[in-house]
Amino acid sequence: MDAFWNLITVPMLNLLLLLYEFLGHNFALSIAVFTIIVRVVTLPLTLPQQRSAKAMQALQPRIQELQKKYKNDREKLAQAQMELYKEAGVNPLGGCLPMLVQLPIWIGLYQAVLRGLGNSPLQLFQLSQSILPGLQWLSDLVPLNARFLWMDLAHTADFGGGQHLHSAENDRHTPHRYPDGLIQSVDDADDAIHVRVLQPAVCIRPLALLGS
Amino acid sequence: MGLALASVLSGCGTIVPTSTWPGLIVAGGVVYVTTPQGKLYALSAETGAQQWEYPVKADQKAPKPFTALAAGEGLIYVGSFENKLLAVDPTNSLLRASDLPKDATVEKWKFDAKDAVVGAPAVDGKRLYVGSSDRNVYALDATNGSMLWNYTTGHWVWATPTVASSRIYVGSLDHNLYSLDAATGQMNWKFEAGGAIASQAALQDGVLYFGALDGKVYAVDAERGEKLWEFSTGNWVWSEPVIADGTVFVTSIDHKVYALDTQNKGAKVWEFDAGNPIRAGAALGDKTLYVVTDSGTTGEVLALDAATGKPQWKKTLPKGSLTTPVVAEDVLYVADLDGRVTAFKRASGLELWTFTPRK
Repeated sequence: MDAFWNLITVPMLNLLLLLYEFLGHNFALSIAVFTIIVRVVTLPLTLPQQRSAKAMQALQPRIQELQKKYKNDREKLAQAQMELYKEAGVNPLGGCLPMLVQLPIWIGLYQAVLRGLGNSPLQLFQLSQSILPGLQWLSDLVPLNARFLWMDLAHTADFGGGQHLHSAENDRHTPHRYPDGLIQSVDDADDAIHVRVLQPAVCIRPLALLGS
Repeated sequence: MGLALASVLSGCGTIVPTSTWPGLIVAGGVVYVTTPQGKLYALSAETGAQQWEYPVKADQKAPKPFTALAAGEGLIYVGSFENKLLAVDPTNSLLRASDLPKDATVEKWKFDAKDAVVGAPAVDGKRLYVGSSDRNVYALDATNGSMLWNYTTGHWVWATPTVASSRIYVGSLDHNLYSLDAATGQMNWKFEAGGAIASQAALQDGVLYFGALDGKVYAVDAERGEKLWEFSTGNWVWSEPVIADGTVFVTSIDHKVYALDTQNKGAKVWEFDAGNPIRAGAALGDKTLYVVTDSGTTGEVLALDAATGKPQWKKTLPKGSLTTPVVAEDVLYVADLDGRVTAFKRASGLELWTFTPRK
């Protein structure tokens, strides 16, 4: 996990702090631009996912026909579907692999945002350990101004209370509080980009197929 | 998606902590420690034997972690992430009750802030002063918890106020150190540092010494709020300075302990590299300085000669420590991040006892 932290989250966190510095100390705007940058960087991974999704969608009418035809024989249905995918040159798992590869990146993004807030002493202490040596001058920005319109992104009360998640017994950092509103904000920004720019990932159906 | 990812994150090792380090004080031959698990323990300073715990039932925990502690007026004061400051009478027999009566009130009083009470209160007779993440500094009646006044700063107040007769001095994460009238809360002056101020200022001979997250140690005239000198370290200074014989001892997250000459505009007398970040302040006993470190996995306790900075002894802790150690007579008490308390003989570093709280 240290490697994950050092390779993915620390650079992301420092990028977020730089954006905060150059975008008028506006944390919400920094998160939005940060999300867009991550989206652009992961585009080579999301495009195959998008193509696979489109191809799967195009095959939907024929899959539905097969489902009607073999509604009482699941084995034949699966066989016919696989033949159909082969004929169309579509890999039903094509949308999954890029998504799995992207998962650590999105976890890193979430952690960078949450740690950037530094809304508790331990969280702020960890932030102190994450600022790269050449960017120590960013320490003057701490703690970040998490206010956006009427909301305080670091403050759970503005969103009707935080969520408490307890980790394993031996975890030294328990319990944990995730600002619901912040997660929702990052989620909304990400979802808007996902829906408007990219096609939704198709991964559930092939996985369901495998399970059937 | 958000909740799903939050669940994923919670299952990872590098999760986001929203807690603090244990609070630790020693008063009247009793060690009081708060743990990340939402417990306050009272231990015999001599043997480490548990005298009581709060919440009283062994399987019961506070909904959110307790924070720093203070003692005064025969009471123990403890802050919490539940936005409260609690006053507990350690002589209350209910704390030792095996069968607590239903709806029994163990606390002497509770004060409700609007956000977490992170820093320890400063107790001055029948008054106490405490900051909160709701940006306020509160003055309370120490006997019943009623609010006397509040002063709103620009950001969270995690530092313990420093009390000096008619004034209190308190730092805020808004980068300012405030001088407030102790009776009314009216501001006398404020001094803007280059970074957030998260720890208590030390006052001696009319000069306030404090650290800030811009990595600097400041000396400020307590009467006028004017800077006398500053000293730069290599990373955040989150600890409260200790002053003795004209020397200010400060620790920094840059791994170092610094001794600065107060008579010579903060000129460095010596520095010692502990090898790991030091968040906690130093504890001074006679001519020895005690510091604790956190490597991220384990920790160390170091005893340094206050005159030269030379190490006298070193002990390893199973977990890092971010809590300022406490010196009481010839014993040094240290709490690690799990709330585990160890008593060391100050002269030799001999371990006397260890108390491990329940998980």
